[in-house]
Amino acid sequence: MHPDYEMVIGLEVHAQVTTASKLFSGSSTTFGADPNTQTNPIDLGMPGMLPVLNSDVVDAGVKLGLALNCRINRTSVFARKNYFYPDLPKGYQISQFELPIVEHGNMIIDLEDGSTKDIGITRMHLEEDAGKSVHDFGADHHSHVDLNRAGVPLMEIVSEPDLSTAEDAGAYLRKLRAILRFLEVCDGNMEQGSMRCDANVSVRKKGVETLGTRCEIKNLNSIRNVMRAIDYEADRQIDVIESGGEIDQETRLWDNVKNITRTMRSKEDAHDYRYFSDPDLLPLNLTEERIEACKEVMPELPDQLKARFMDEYKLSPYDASVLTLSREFASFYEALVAGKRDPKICANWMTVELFGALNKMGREITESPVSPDQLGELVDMISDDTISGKIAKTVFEEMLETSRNPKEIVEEKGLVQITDVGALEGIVQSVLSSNQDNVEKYKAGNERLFGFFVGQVMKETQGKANPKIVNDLLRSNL
Amino acid sequence: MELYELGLKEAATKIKNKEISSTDLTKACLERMNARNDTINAFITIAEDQALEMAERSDKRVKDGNPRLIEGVPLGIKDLFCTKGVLTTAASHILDGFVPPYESTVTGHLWDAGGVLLGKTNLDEFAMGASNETSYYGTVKNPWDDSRIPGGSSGGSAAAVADWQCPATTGTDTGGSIRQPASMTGIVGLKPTYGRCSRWGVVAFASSLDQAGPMARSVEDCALMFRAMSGFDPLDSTSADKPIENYDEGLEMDVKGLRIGLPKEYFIEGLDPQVKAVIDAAIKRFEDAGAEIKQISLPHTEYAVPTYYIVAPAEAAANLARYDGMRFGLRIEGDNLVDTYIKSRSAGFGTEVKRRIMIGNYTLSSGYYDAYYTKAQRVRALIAGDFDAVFEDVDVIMTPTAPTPAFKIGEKVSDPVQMYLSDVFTVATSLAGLPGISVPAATVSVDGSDLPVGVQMIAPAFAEKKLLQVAYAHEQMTNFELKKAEVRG
Amino acid sequence: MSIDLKTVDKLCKLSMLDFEASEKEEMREELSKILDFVSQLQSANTDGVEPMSSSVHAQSTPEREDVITGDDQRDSYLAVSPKSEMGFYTVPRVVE
Repeated sequence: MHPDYEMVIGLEVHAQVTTASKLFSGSSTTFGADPNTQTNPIDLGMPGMLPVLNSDVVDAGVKLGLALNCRINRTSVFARKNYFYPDLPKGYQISQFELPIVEHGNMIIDLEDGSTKDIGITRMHLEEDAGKSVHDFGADHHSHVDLNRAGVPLMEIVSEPDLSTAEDAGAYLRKLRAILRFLEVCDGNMEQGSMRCDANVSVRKKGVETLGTRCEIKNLNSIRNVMRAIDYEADRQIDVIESGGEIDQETRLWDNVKNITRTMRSKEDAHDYRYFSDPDLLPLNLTEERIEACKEVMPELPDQLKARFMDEYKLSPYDASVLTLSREFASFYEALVAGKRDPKICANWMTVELFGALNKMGREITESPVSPDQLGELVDMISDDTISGKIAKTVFEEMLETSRNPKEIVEEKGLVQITDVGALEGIVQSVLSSNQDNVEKYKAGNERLFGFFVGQVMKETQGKANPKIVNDLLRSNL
Repeated sequence: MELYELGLKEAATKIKNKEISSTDLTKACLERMNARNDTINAFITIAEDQALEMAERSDKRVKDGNPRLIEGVPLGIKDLFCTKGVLTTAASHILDGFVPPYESTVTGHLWDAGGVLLGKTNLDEFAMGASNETSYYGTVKNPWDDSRIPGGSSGGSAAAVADWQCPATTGTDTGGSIRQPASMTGIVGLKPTYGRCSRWGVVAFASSLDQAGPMARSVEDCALMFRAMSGFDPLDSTSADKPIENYDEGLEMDVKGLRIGLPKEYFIEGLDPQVKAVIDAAIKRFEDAGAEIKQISLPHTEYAVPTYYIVAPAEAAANLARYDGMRFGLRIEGDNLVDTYIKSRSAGFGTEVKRRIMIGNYTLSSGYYDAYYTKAQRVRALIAGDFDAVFEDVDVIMTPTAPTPAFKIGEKVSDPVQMYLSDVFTVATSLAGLPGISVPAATVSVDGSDLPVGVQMIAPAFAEKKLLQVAYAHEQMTNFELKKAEVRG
Repeated sequence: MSIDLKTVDKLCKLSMLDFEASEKEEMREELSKILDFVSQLQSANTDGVEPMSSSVHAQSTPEREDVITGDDQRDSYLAVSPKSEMGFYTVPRVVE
């Protein structure tokens, strides 16, 4: 990105609330059902149908508001947002406009370098989701509509334009997702669409106060795509400005095949939604008792857990934030440390080895083939020198494939580390005497050959020699 | 006396006592309906098979000794109520072929009380009108004079009752659509307090105003029908969680000391002299019987009709967006999606409906919302406040129901604003959500025809019991005869 | 309080309606008259008056328990639709 410019980013996230039934009707919200099997006349917008509010969605909204330090509005109003589309059965969406359920909050995001940033949350409101159109089959001039999703409850969370980089955006989404999951109000699955993100991006010259014209980017189905799209869009806008052009305020679609954004809607087609308060519903008035009741059942949230981990386990801010991205990570970690193992070593094994492997396998931590106890056993065997770190990695791979205990694997494969100094002395001397010409070169100043000798000893011992002992022995013999 | 001349309560009693059978009564009504429908056009659908089936089941229940509240009594249902398995059109082309897979709560109550479905009555399209001239299924004729309208929008329901085709019907009232046709056809029509009758399954026009209500030939029948129709519905968020009473019992009341308010804004200089004479006489009867007549003021009355014609069309514009040809009703394929929407809706809706959608969208649109829609909602609060204030000092309010007797077919249909003014005495009550009833008072002679004129009573919220008692008292003191059209000549 | 044709066209777009030229002119006239009529409201003094959107006075909008009600009646719903295929509503092509 051009060094004279900076980005201004705001994110709008739609999170599906994990209730059994829809926002205003009793239809099921389960993902993946056959088309239109989870619709009733209310969802279908048939004549005479009326909405009745789902109380669990209200509680979910209050809890999210509390977690984001928002003002909980004692009165909020449902409004009709009017437009025509086949996935919108009533010809209007029931949403909230002037008076959302919560607003004016903030969320701390954790960056890779360990620093944090405080991002403002403008508001969160409740609204119903629309159905889905599919275009894969049938005649070219037709589309097919599945209204199972129509009426599913959504929380729309709008951030202040306080994000400045794609990394910020990634951190924001990871944190928000963590909070949603900790509260158990949304499963945060972007691939399945239970959490969706639109990005508002503008650029301006550094030092300038006023905001540039922004574009809204849609069709972002993963955190990585959000970050890619933001970087692409910022560069695009800078190019336009640098070549003397102006940015049109518009909605653009992210094309994740070509990795570009392209025009979707221009200003001319901007909708007049004609919001007005829905006369089929009454205002939502929250009592102090209800808000207190929600406060009482709030779980420990990611930031609190992160602080506790930093304090108890002396972890770095970033490691602590990664391990507390979900309650499942945190419980796995705590079971791994189990009050007896080195927290830093455990943190490394989880964040580097385990997460890396799970990502490759496309699995969640709850589907890990390796349990905390098993991983702990492996860590113990390194700590007490039973195996070397390098051998441990091999054992770990086997554990991932077979879910077997490390002790078993090590025994079966005879991978116990050789720590017998006498035996190793013999092998070191044998290696050195078989490689006299390299010994000469080393003594003449070629330090790098040390690695060669180490490698030879390892070869002789099938990698089982304790590396530290080998190093010491080589040094003393050279 | 013909079977079809029986009132609701009378019929229910005779069936319960096994003096007559539901099947015989139902057949008699069907015969008359079929004979009169070409002339009066009160019914869009006559559900002959369904009616006889239900009548047979009712007869069995009576035989087995467990008759319900109105077991076996045949009823007409305004074609705005979704009736499961029976065509429901809202008198619109856009609902062609729509057979609802669900039953409205109100009609469900009626069937659970033993009622029998005769058919779906005609109405102004989507309940938008005051004359029943905008129906896709043709104009309804006033049984008193078939060159005149019966009033609207519940014109078919009113005419069916006034023409002795059935004992009672359901109507809906948004700005006067039960009361005004009741007045123009000489029957009793009640608009309950907003929230008394469930709106679930009633095709929506203006959500904050629509109310279902009974129409019958006597106050007692209306009260019984209301008892069967009303009640809290958890499926309707605006439904009133208040207990219902046996409204048809204990209707007698001593009017001595009853405080009746006459709002001066409803008795203005230009009031039709014939209408004035009728209401003056009705007031005098109450006075002679010991009621206390008080002059009151509802100062924001002049704003009621303009307020209504901002609020109702705005809500309607949104409520009618679902008629898009995608999931039910009429679809006319266009070149693309938008073209299909436009073709289907333009062909499917009548002119008055289109006008209201357009005006509704105008007052809601960006730039005009505050000046029109929000302003109207503030004035609405003032109008409701007017009623709250006067009900501190009076028990009921009495006014004319309609500014004129039934007018001629075609007389106002080309001047929308003139048509809107027909609601001048009824809309304020709707805006305030209060219960109002129209009861026949007298007939007047207009161009050689005898035409009925009704009077309206308005009570505080949820005071239907008192309202019906006052209406009953009026009925007892009044010599009004509803003759059959053929007898009238 | 006259409305011009441009406004009528905008309203047509919002309402998904269209008219023949002569009908459109008639509609424009009628809408202007209606607007004139309802504009009478402007003379009402509403200072300090809160907008009233409903005559219902209740604690809060009623809420229902989060339970699944009803069952799969897709066939009966699709039966009243103009066009359906393989369980979907068939509609004119939606261009993204």
